[in-house]
Amino acid sequence: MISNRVTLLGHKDHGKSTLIGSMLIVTKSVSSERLEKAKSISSKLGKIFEPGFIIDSFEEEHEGGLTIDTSRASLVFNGNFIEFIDVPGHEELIGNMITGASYGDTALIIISALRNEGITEQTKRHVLIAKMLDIKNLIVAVNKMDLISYDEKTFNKIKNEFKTYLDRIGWTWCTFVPISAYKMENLISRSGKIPWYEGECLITTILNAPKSKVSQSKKLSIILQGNLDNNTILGKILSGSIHINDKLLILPYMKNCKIENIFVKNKSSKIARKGINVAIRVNPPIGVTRGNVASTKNSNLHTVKAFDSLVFPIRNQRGDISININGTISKSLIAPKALIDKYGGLKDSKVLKSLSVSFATVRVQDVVVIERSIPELSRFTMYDSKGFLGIGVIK
Amino acid sequence: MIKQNLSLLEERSIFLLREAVSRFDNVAALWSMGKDSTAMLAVARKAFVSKIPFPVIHIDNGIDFPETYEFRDLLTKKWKLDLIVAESKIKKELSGFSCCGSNKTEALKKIMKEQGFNALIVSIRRDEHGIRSKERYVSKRNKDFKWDYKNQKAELWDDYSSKIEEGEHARIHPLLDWNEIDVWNYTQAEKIPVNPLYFSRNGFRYRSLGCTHCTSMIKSNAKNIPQIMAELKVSTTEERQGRDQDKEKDYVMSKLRALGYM
Repeated sequence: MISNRVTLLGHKDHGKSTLIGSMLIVTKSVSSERLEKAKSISSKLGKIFEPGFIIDSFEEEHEGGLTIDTSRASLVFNGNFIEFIDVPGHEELIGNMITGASYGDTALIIISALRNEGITEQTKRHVLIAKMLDIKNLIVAVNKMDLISYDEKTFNKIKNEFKTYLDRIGWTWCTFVPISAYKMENLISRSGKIPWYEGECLITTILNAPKSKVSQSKKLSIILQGNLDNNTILGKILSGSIHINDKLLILPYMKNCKIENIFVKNKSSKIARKGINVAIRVNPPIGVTRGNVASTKNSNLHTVKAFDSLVFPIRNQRGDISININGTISKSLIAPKALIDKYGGLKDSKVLKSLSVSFATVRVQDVVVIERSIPELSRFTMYDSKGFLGIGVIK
Repeated sequence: MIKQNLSLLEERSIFLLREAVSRFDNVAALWSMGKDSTAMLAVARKAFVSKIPFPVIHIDNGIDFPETYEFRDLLTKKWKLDLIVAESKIKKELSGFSCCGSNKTEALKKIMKEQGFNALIVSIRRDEHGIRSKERYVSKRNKDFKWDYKNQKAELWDDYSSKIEEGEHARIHPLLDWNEIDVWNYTQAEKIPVNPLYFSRNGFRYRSLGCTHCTSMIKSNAKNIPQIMAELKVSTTEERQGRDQDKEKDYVMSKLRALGYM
């Protein structure tokens, strides 16, 4: 079965939870029990039933009407598996939004067609983050079309305005779909309410989105998690493959060893490839810690103390910053050079600005292993005295 | 119900189990002898080349099914498990909330304190209950076992680093991404022993297992795993329908979890 992961982005109240709820209902992917429960909860709260209640199952969410955290919902449509990841639309929960967005192959951004809602700064920020997270496909659902009498002009106005912004920040694949999540129009079949629209319904658009290609770096990299015993190290192969008798180089210490045996699951194996969690018996014995990387001499992974990157802090910095690159945590100094402004252009800036994407030089106290061709070794999370501060991508 | 790719689920769970052992110095796992925590132990055997490096805790209120105790002893021997039985005393009247929920939590608190565990592997799944869809792979609990779900760490890019203060612990959820049907699919593929209570006798079986007092059977003729999976494919009801505590009140589960329940 082909799997499609779709992250829903967009301003709060533009209809993300409603859309997922409606999709579950129209594809018959929700149990009758759960649907009834959602209906009874909404009537207890004295509200008209709202499809978003199906997934927003926390007490507080029902009362506040907002998604607190990332939640997921899956459905099957004509033999295709689609997983929706709903992320919160509040500004203060953008950390959760980033987590949710990092799971998806395709981003679906919802923009309300209502005149007083439309494209907001938050809408723009969300697509900018999706771009930074390297999500390739973008679908823009223009929602609440029922409330504007399915008006073609309004749809085109939003489309043209948003397209200009997307072009500036460099999205190469994006498509616009008019929908009504609440009235379930144009979700799994073409709606008769919008004869002027020539494209596909939402689910077909999702299924037709190009499949993201996973990077195929030939360089060997194994992220290490520790020792099973003195001779055996545990790790996950991020790229490349290993064979018995291969020589390994353990970074950042630059220690050499030879592979004597490979265990895949609990069986001995002559070879192991990308994506597999392995146990490797090595000679001489070697002690490793979380964040060390096993590679080969000619793979030339970089061990560095400074690099250029794009950074996105979710709030103002408090105290010293540490970054975590694939398990190595290191104190850092981050020196911004420029930021991306609200029109998608570049503006000089020497300070780390909250909720903006900046170009910056990062200096770390301890040596870290990076490799631009391997996603896991080219991105990091930032922390300060208050906790999670934001994300960075090495450029 | 949707079947997922078992090999991908298994790899992810292995990574998480190794992450738990690597990040925390005193790890234990909860084992109820149900299908989920047993499948988790099967994955752990693969993660650590057949030898599970952490103890497994059975919180025993003395009123589990005889089949459950038998199954426990059989597998403990077969897989050479380091089993800890934590006795849970039943204090209040036998409603769902008091036989399993808060009493079991008390027993767990006691054993965690005695043994100084700072990480606990729990085999919950995201599809089990609405509130569990909000869980993280590594989720912090404070001294009182409370879960601050509004203030959770962003867990992106396999960053599970988490500062645990004295008295706090981390819950590790290696099966979070699995669905009910995936667990059965895996159990079948890996020939994992199954608690016989899951199979139909006289037209009834257990779909979800608690203790003798708070679990009831569902109507079913499924006598083996393929039949259970066929049943799940067309099922429109919830897995935990036979559990009292979910039915008592809409928000009971939410409260139980905030109190530290599994």
